[in-house]
Amino acid sequence: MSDLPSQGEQAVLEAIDVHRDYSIGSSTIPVLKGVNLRFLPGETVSLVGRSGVGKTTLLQILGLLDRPTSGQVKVRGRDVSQLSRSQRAEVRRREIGFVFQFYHLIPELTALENVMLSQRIGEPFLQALARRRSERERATALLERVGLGHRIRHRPRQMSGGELQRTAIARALFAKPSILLCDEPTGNLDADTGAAILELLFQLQTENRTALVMVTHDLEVARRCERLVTLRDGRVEKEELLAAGMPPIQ
Amino acid sequence: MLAEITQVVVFQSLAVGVAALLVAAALAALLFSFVQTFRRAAVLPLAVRYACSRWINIVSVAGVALGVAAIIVVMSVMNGFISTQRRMIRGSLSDLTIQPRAVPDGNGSSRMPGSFEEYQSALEGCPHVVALAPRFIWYGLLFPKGVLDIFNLGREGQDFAAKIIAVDPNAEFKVSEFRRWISPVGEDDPGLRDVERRIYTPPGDLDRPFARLERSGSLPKDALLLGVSKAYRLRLQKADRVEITTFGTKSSRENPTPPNQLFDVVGMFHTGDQEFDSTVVLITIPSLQKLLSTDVNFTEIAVKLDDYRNADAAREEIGKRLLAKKLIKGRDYNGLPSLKIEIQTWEEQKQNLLAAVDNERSLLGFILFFIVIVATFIQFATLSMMVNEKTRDIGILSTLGASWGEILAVFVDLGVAMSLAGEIAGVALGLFLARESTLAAVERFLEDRFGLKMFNPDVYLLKSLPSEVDLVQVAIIAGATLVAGVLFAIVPAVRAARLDPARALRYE
Ligand SMILES: Nc1ncnc2c1ncn2[C@@H]1O[C@H](COP(=O)(O)OP(=O)(O)OP(=O)(O)O)[C@@H](O)[C@H]1O
Ligand SMILES: [Mg+2]
Repeated sequence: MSDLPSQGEQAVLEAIDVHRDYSIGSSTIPVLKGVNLRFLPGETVSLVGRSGVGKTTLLQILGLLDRPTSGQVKVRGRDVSQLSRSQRAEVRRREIGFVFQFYHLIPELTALENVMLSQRIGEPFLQALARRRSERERATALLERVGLGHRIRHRPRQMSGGELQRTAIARALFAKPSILLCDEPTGNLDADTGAAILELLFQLQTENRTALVMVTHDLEVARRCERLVTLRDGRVEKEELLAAGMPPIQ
Repeated sequence: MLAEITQVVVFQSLAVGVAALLVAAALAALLFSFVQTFRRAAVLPLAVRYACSRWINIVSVAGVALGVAAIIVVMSVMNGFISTQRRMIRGSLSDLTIQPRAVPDGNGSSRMPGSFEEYQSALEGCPHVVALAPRFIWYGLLFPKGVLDIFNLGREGQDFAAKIIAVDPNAEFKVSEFRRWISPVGEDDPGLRDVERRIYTPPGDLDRPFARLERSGSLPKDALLLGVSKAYRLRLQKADRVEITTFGTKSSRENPTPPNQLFDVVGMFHTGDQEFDSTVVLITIPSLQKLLSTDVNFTEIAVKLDDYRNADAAREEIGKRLLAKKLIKGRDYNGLPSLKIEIQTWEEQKQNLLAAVDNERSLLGFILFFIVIVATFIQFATLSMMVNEKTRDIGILSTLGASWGEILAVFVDLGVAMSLAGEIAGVALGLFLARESTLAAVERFLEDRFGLKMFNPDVYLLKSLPSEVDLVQVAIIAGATLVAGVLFAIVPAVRAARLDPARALRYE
């Protein structure tokens, strides 16, 4: 158990002794075997480990998409593992943003609509109608901020990987979550584009004081975070505090 | 017997129960998704986008549209057939018929309980009763005079048999469609074959249909109107002379020769009821009285009502008045009090035929609804495919915080939208196609282009395909289709809502 995050400040997200078994047929395969992690507001954490160690699984549990077999997940100190499906959806909507390796935009919607969707979900119809103009302006501004001012009416099919990921980041941050969970956000991009995306991610995260949890295979990427968590054999093997925003190793 | 009836009742209430349950489920789902749509701004735009995004949706919308249109067209044609069939079946019958049972006259014969005038005054001012007409019904043999191949005709012996209905034309005009039957055949007069339409000859003066013919050579005889089918079968024409032979009302020992008399055919009539038009001859009441040497002047009374829907009330009122004057017995065959033997509506008189016709309609409606079920099933398949295809999207919606209700509502809305679109198109198409002019055009087109004869006027005894759109029926069809659409949308929608987002997102 690490004492690295300061115990005084309230964690925005916390995993306590999280276990996750997958059962295939009659046999159960334990993937997570007691993970303990705390994330503070505005902090950046990278999550590394061998392929298949359970990084995505952990991220999904932290993002309330999946339930741990045992153990607790706390959001702002509140245990959410026992909440109903709808209640967890509500927490997800208010607190958590996701960015995936494969962008996962809705193909039928334009970039602007994809971004606005995250706000519209869970919002009453009339309220959305009343705020439509201001929300549209805010979404346009955000898309301009991620460098896609000229792409707001484009459909996902008409955009490059880098543009898609920028849109996805804008979408994840539009509803102002307190935690951003990224699963290999640069994994599908070339080095230059990846670097630019990463740059953007860190800038926006700092601006919004969003906690960032990022799964990556790329140590260089990992080193840009304040904290590095290594998973091994279903547990946290080590947690290292890094000098925040360390420059890439030459 | 009792077991059978209970079985039917149980089955029926079961069916009604299941139907009510399905409708309730559909309504609940509709209400739920309506509330969700209103409370959650993301639902409607997503549903609309999904609806517009794939061409296969158009196929299922078109499927529903064609199904609905087909039902509307077929049901409308069926309605048209049924109402013309009802007209044919009704034939000469007035709204109500009073058939008092004869009573012994003390001379070894019988008489009516009173004269027609007594009935008339008993029913003076009776509510719902608009007009009365006496009819005197008798049977006899009709023999065409001067026909050479009489032995050929004789082989079809029943053609000589005649139901003689003696009427008072002026009263008859007021209780039945008498004027229509003796008018020239109209385009939409049902129940006639083409030859019958051709040979039909009306009497010379429609206001005085039984006026005697002016003939050179011999003195004119009493007038007789001949059913058009009978005229055709006996090769009779206007101005031909016929002889009617019958049996007397007095005992035959006193009257050894059967009563007989010559009549002039002054015209024909067409009620549309084949049975009636091929058996009946119409003469005046005085003619029949003379033929039978009797002073009986009616055997039944035709009653015209203000509105047929008041038939039961009218029967009660008429029954009360006639019973008070002892003009009817008011008992059924078991001696129990009942008016239904002596006073009958036309529908009761033709019960069996009508039941068959109405049964046909419900059966057809039931069968046709399967078309819609099939069409809706296409929609079910389309939606299910879409849920499969959108698995990842559904996962994304979950990550964005969509509740299961929102996701359910997106797919229910989608189903409802597709079903509604199909229905609107289908109703429009159906109403257009079900117009008689459209049907006639289609029929003509098929005949001209492909030599297909859809419709044989002589089989159905109609000039053209009839069609009657019943808007209540259309509304029921639309409602039932919507219910089916919603029900079939629920299954894929629930599946979408229950998808595990973790799994949905895992595979690219
Ligand atoms: N639904 C499932 N059923 C059974 N086993 C599963 C399921 N999902 C994941 N696993 C297993 O759990 C383990 C962890 O998977 P996970 O995707 O979390 O790994 P990962 O660390 O993200 O790997 P990668 O770096 O390749 O993305 C793997 O061995 C995987 O086979
Ligand atoms: Mg992974």
